[in-house]
Amino acid sequence: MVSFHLRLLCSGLICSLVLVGCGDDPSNIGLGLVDVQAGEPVLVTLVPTSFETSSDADITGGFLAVTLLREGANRFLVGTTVDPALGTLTAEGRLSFVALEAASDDFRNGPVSSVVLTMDLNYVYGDTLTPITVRLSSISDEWSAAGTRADTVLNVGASIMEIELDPTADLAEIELPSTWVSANDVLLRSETFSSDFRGFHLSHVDGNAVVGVSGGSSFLSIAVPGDTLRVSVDKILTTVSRDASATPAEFLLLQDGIDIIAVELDFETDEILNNLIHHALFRLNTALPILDTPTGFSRPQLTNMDLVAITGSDEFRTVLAEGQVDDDGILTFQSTNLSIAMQNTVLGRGDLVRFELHAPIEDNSLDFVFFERNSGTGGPRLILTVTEVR
Amino acid sequence: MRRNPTALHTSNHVNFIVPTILVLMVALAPTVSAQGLTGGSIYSRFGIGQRESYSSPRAQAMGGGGLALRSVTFTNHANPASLSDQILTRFAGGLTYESLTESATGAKESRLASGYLNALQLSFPLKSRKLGIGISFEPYSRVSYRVDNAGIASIDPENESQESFVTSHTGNGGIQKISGGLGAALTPDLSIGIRADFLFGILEEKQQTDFQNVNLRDGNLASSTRLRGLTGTLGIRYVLSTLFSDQDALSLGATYTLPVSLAGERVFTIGQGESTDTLGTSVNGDVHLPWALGFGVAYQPNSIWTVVADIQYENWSAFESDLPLPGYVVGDTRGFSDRVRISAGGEVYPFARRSLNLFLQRVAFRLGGYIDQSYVTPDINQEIKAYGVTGGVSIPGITGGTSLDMHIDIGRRGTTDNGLIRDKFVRFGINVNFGDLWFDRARLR
Repeated sequence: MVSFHLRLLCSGLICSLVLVGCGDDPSNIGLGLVDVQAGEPVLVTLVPTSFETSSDADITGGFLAVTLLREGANRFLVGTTVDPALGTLTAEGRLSFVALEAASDDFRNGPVSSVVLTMDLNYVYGDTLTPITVRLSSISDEWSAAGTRADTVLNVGASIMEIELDPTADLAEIELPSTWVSANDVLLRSETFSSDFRGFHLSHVDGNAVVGVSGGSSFLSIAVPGDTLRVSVDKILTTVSRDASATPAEFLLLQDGIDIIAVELDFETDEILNNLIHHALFRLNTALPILDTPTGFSRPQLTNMDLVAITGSDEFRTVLAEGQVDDDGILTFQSTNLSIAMQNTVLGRGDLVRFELHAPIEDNSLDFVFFERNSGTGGPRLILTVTEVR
Repeated sequence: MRRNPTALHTSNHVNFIVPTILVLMVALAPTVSAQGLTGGSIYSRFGIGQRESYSSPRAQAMGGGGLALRSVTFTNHANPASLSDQILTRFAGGLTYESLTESATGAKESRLASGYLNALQLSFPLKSRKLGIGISFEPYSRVSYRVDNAGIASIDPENESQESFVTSHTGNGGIQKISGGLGAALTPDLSIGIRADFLFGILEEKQQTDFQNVNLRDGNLASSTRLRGLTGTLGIRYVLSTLFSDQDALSLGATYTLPVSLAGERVFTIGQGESTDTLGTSVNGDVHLPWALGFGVAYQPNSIWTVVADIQYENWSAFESDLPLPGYVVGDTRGFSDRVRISAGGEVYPFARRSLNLFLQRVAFRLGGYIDQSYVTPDINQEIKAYGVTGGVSIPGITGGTSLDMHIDIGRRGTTDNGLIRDKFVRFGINVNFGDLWFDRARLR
């Protein structure tokens, strides 16, 4: 009997403990007795101390050969256009090839009967009504692509031929001259073709447009009697020059393929230093000045951009956020990476030097956008949600 | 070979006691770890935390005093003089689960729960009933509170975008005490003892902001103060036997604890997720704890009844610290006052003479109460007092002096006047008390 009562007592205690534990419901009672170490989250808006075109040109090189290792641009440009609003733009492109397929014995025994360069045209800037003429030249020197910038100085080899291109065409098939084919017969059939053949350089001869060629969709067909070897584009590069454009002072021009905008902020201001950063967004207002645009003149606007963190003395680049201009002409970047970068910076970590703003490297073009410069009219601003440490 | 029927009956009880302990531990474990250390009173935030004291599983149910208690079945660690009583090597320890309801004028009640370790105690006789040693680990103070405040933050003023968040102000930690004591019976009536107490621990305050939107980064700020120091306690106990009858005994006990300077180091950290950074450099300073005096009386009219009464006094008005603490600005002790704790209680073995069952004879029931005036207040015009009623039961084990002791402590603390908080708390404690004969040479060869 006693044993039963003791069991009952213990069971009751266990049930009581479990039931009591189910009722946890904290509230703000006692808030007045807590010395808050930090305030509530507040907004802090930082205006850049510097918002200017970088002295560095845009990155226009790309490595395409191996899918997993693809890096940089996938499009190269060629041509010249006189833009009445932005100035004269001149682009020269080059490409090299890699033989991904194993060549047959027939191919190795040759001789090469024809070589056709097939270019996938997927972009035009300038006069779309008139064909352009470009020069196809050989390349005599080694050249690198990934990470290479638009202002790189290149050596160009002997001219091979001139080509007329329709800026609105989707495809261009160019058969190379038989003299060039004969002169390069051994090289084109050799096992070391990929490393020894430096590719082609394309430059403006005549016309008023710049066209873009997709590197990943273009190829070279090398034919021998009874066999044809198709070699893919290995790497591409575009160099672009623009004469001084008369951009209104209240706007800042960002033109893909040429410009990078450098954004510097005071990361050590008391409003954010050593504080908690919960959220960060970087916002710019684009501007739409009235530009002189002749009939048939294509001048695409830039709508997608990347916000890049430049860190360390070696200026390592990390894309923090991708942004798209909305219907109201506002470009907003926000991402967890941006918030983390700001938190690390205000705590003295991460070695952030500045932000850079540029068009996505992959879709190399001459698209343009104007940004408002002044804070009163929607200039760039970094909006942070901050808990200030007291 | 005949089996003792009484022993068999007793072992049946042990058979259910052990599973009961295990079930209780399992029931308590999740709450101890999950709600754990931040579900207590906001008053524990102030000073060095809420003062804690634990004497023995027996004394906890009798108001928490017991400086004059003497027993061979429970080691009295509160008074080192009582360490001389021991016959058996003894281990005791337990957990307490606290349910707390906080209320304030015009505010929604806050309900919190927490679990914590009472103490771990080991003691053994060097010479039976003459000289004994006790070692214990128990909390000296406890910081455990949590206040949640919900809010809405603007994250994009141009789009009027807002996100809701909860800021939790929590405190946890406290000062722990590792003690080693020696008690000696100078005469059958007079015992003295000495104990060394190493105090150490971390007082941590944390402010954690959590957003509902996972795209916003949560964050926390914390202040951690690490303290350590060594003090000592002297104890004395005198027993007056056959005072009013042939069976009674009156015990008088007293303790004096030396003041101590705790070396402190404070660090501020800021963090998000697992990543934490130290802000600035650490701040060093001493925290001076005051002396304390305790006096207790226990009267046993016979082997069935025991009554105790105790008063403990701590001279906190002399408190000093180089480091500011909640409720204390360096050099300004207006928030501090002397702590006085008065407790009384009784114990009865109701079946001791009415049953032939050895198990029932050793079942004890206890009752007590206390009033505890806190040493620190958040409002210098308002003292903070706690009142509580305690009770408990002791279920004996298979061997003499081994028991499972449960206690309950129901009370309240503080006031809703002057914008303060009133706590209502219910504490359940479960303690195990093992005794066995160790280090004894075999008498038969």
